[in-house]
Amino acid sequence: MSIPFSNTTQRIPRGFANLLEGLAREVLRNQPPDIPSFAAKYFENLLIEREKTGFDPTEWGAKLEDRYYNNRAFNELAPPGGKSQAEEKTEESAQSEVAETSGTTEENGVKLTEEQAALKIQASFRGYKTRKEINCPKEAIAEKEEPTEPDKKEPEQAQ
Amino acid sequence: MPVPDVMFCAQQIHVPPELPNIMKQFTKAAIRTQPRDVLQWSYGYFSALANGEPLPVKERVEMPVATQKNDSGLTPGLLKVLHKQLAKKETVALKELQIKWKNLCLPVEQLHDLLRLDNFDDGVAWMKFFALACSALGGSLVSSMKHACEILTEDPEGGAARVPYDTFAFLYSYLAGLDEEIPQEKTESFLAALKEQVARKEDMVGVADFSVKRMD
Repeated sequence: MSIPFSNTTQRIPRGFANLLEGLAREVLRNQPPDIPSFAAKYFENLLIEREKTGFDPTEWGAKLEDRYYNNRAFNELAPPGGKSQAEEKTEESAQSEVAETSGTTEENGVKLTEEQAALKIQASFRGYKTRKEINCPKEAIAEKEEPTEPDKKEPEQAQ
Repeated sequence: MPVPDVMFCAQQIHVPPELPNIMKQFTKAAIRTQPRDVLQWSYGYFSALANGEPLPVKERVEMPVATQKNDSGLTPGLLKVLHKQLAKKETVALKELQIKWKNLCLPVEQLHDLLRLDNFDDGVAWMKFFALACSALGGSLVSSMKHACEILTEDPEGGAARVPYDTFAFLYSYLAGLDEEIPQEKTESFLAALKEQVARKEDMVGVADFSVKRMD
């Protein structure tokens, strides 16, 4: 038997995140006294619903995950229809009529995602900065206080 | 001041103190077990947890082995889980077995195929069913017994996988009895020879005791 040396086969089952999220939300919403039995009932209801309507939350969650992590592949593969058409129309009105090929839409798509990414990075960095600023004064005060106290005490002891 | 009904901020949500741990253990179990149908398995997990039964969780990750005939069917790890859940009683109600089987995302057809091999009308004798399941895991009698030993043993994994002689003799004679090609005298002589062999080993049969013997 071969020795497994890579952890690539150890994955979270497909769509598991969605189930876990739903469970946590329902537990927080209902505040049941006995969480395991509540969870059992919750999953039983989901199973019954799946048998009735064919709606599988794990399958749905797996699709969402796929879309979330492989967004770029979806954008590139998407044929010039649906959303990209709407984008094209706005572009056409704004830009010249010549820019109609799929190449420009692709470029725009990349630009849009870059912009969004930049916005996200900036937002998170600003959050980090302000949090640091809020935390800093406390630390600074605490640091200031600590050295002053022993300073005062030491001369007293010496006297 | 009464607590307002309206939610203003996240701090108003009361998180039960045991919830994080439950979810952590649940996730770890899911990663370790890798159930095929997560929803069905989750239901099984929590109903077992609520009733204080052994959980449908593999002890460790099972790598998909290339020699495995079909990836959807019974595996040694899953059979071990079933054994852990059902072995407390000598006979198991058919319905209970069906529920446990389903919650491990195992195909129902396989269960019916196994049950057809013997008469289980009034309750399933667990050790007999276990022997049949082992025979489904391994093609030959020796390899079935090897699987049985590896699951039943209390030795650490990768060890000698020893089981008490009585257990071994019961499983072996049951499986050999079902196989019409093996004459009864042969089974008896094999077991007698084995008993002599393991008499000085505290009556424990290890995998090496019978699999090596065959090769001689």
